[in-house]
Amino acid sequence: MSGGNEHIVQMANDIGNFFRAESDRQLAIAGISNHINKFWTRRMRQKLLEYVQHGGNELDELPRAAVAHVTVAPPAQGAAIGAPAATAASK
Amino acid sequence: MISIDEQDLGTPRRESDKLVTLSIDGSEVTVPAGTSVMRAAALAGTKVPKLCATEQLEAFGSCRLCLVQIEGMKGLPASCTTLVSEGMKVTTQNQKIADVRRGVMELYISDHPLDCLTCPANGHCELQDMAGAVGLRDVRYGYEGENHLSLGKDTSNPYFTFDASKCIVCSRCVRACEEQQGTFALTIQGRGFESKVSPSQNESFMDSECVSCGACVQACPTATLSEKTLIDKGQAEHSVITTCAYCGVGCSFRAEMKGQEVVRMVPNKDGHANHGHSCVKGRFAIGYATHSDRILKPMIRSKISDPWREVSWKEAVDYAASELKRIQAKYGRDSIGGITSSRCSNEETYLVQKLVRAGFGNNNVDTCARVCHSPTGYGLKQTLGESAGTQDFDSVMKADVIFVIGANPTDGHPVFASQMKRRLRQGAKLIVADPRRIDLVRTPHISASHHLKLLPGTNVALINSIAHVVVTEGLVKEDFVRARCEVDSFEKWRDFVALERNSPEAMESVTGVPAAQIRAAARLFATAGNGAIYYGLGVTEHSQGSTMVMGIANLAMATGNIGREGVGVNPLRGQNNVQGSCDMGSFPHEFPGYRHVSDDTVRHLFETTWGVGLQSEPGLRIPNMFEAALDGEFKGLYIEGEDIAQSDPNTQHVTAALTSMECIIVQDLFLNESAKFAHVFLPGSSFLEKDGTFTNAERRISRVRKVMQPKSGYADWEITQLLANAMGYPMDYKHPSEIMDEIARLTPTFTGVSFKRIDELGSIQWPCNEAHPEGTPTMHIGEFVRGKGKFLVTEYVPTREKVNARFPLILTTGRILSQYNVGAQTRRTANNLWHDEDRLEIHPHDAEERGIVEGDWVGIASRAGDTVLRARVTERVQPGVVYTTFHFPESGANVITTDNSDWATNCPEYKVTAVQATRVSQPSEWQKRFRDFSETQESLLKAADVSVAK
Repeated sequence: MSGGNEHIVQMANDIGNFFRAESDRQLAIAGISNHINKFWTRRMRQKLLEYVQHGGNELDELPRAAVAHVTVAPPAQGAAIGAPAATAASK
Repeated sequence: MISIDEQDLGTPRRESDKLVTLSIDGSEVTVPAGTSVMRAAALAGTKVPKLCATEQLEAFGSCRLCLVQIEGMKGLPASCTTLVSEGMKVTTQNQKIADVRRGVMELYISDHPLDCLTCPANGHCELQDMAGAVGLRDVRYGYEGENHLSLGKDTSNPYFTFDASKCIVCSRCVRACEEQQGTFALTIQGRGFESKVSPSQNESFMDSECVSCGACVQACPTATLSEKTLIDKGQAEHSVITTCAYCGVGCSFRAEMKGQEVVRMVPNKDGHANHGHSCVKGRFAIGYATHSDRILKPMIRSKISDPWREVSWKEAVDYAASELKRIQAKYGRDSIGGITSSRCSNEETYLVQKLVRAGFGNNNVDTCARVCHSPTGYGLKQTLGESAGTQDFDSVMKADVIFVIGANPTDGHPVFASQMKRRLRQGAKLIVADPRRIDLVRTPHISASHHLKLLPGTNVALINSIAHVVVTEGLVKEDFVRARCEVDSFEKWRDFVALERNSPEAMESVTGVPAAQIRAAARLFATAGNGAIYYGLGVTEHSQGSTMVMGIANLAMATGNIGREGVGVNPLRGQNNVQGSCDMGSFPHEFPGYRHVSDDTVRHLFETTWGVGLQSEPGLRIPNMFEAALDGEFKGLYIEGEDIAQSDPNTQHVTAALTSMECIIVQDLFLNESAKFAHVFLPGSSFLEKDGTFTNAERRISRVRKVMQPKSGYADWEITQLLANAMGYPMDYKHPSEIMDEIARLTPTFTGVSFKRIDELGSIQWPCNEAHPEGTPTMHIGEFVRGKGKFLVTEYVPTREKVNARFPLILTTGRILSQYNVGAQTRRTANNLWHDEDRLEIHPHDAEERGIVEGDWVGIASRAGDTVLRARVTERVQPGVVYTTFHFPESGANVITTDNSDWATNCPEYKVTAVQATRVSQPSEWQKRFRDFSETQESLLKAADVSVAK
């Protein structure tokens, strides 16, 4: 395993182990990718994708299939982060 | 002695739909049926003299002072034991009654020291008051005869004394121990003149079974049982109602004060969570707040090898802000973050997460609930729709069967445990699932119907096999499930748990619990009436913590045990504000009210209110922060009230991460373990020094009220505000009530919450909004928060933490009554007299195999590290399982625990670590390094000649 990825690979496999009980494979894959998208930082998701691109040997089959649905593109953002929002009213 | 500001109506309140009207001294009064004449008189404004009666205890009728005359009844009945009836005519005062009462008092006083002027209860002594009330002017019997005046004092307990010479043998202390606490440590030994209060078998209080809850001290009508602080300081002159800062029960207390000095903490009889009861921590263990270890001035240093330098608040805050900004400029916006604590108030945690999201510009905020109840939030949100327990504590009084899973209430949540035991003594059945024989399994007048002594790490296998029985034996509440739950999800779950591989017989080899016992327990739970589940960290702190929470919710739904009183899913939260810190948006993926940061509508609401653009990406969880730090990507951390270097697993991993950071800011009362790795120390304030709110395990929001000025000059919320302003994000709150007002504006479940409203109602259980203006004691009535309840399939996945020849034992960790969490508070009190070190509990069989005897030093090695503890050989643990607590940093309990964590939330798997135990003769290498490092840090602190508490 490439250095520094053990942690996220283990996390992804653990998530996969929960969703493996889902009999509908597509639902299982969606469950894994949704969970990762919802709770992991973009940097962690990027690392996972890069890990898969470099072989991803330690990643189980189901979470590996889910990686295709993991997003890393910057989301559409309203106000620039840290910049004053439209109706600034900080206390 | 009851609180100086409380009135005692003599006997407990009764609830009844039927009202009874009677006449007392010519005045009519209407009360619920079942009320005593004494209480009815008190409600009518007439004080009937009394000694053995108190509102906190059932009537006893022994002192004969409360006699009254009742038309149509013979003699002079005791008003405490006589219940009201329609049309009853009561006379509380006439010559005949006065003569009898005076005679009774004369006897009492004839055997009581007349040292009132120097007595600690002077002015608040009920015996003294009653002597005055009955007009006692003379005692005819003198002191020549035999008496008890020369009996000695028992001062063995660190917090109170027992002066037998002042005892009137009213039995209030004995009854308080039985009825309120449920320990039955006290009894009246002997008969007649020889009668005396006896702790256990005539032992000292300290050597007895007494758990030092203080109920007896509060119940005592004289100075027989008195707090030592009361004896030392004299009586308070005012009291302030506030909320305990220890466990998730959230007991209400009256802080009895002399100016800004606390004389004693007295449980508030009107407290909605505790109803006038307390435990040894909340009642007595507040000495830490004024302990000399407290640091009262800010300090900074460039490197952790440098001496601390005491500086002004401005310099400290400016330095902290400049460092955080420098780090962000160098490593990026996401290179810093913050950690809130469940020991802090709602307002404080709200401000920290606001600072991180709005001031730091990222979502790298997390809370210590990450390492305790984060699976509760996740699991209950998925299944029921809300990240919180479903009931209030009082609900337990309507339970018919109580299922305690992975919780040790008598140690972790003692005041609620007393209430639970009260219900169990009334006849409710008890099922306990725990690897250890916790006290609740067999305690006076209580015996669990089933103790499912499962192997650590097999919770999900157990809950599945219980569900298997419910499903395959036709015990599902079909009408409830069809009406209230998603039928598709139910059917999928039903088919799953019905599989043979989930049967008790198939799972027996996994759980270690005999199949017949599981079947019997499942039948009992599903058929006994109201079934209530209470669980703790023994559920959540596993690699399948969230799965198990879902499994519990599944079981509750399948058996129809949700949505009314007496049932429900009840997480027993570890610390005082676990629920609140989660509610306040301390998790990196969600805003206050459990709304995801990627929700554009919600984020826009916060952006417009906070006046700044916010990230839509989840931030780092605590374990992810450590990984990112070790990867060189996370360099700055603001920690308020939390001690990750002691409480989080795999200590060496944590300290390596902390060492790799460039600026750690610790805001705390003490130079805790994490602060030894810090560059900025901001002295925090205790719960006595600030206003705010805590939210307990029932979702109950209660006020914390300032009883003294902050010793460091600022309350914690003010310090966060200073840091925010220094970071360039303006905050200008004048009072924590303004912070709560903002929370209420932004959080639908808090819409109706304000300090004013809490003051009016005493406390509020959220949701509190237009639909529930006075709060919500029971959730999911009629409909789940998510609409239909959702069943989730919970496959058992064994932990990767396996025992083998090298690590053949399973270590599980927990807590004990007298200490609290990392011990920062309780270790600085006399509670150490009960527990002054963490010990390793080991079964006699395992001990003998290893040549270990009681008290031996034992080396415990795991895949993560090793440490040394002294052995306690006990059958409380089963063969193959060892246990310890984590209250003392030098124990290194978390040096052994691993990085394994819950799949959904990364809550650490504290409860399962494969270890080996061997007899040793010296501390572990880690302990030697720890000692050296701690001594160095102490010397760096001393070198700074810092200001500490007097």
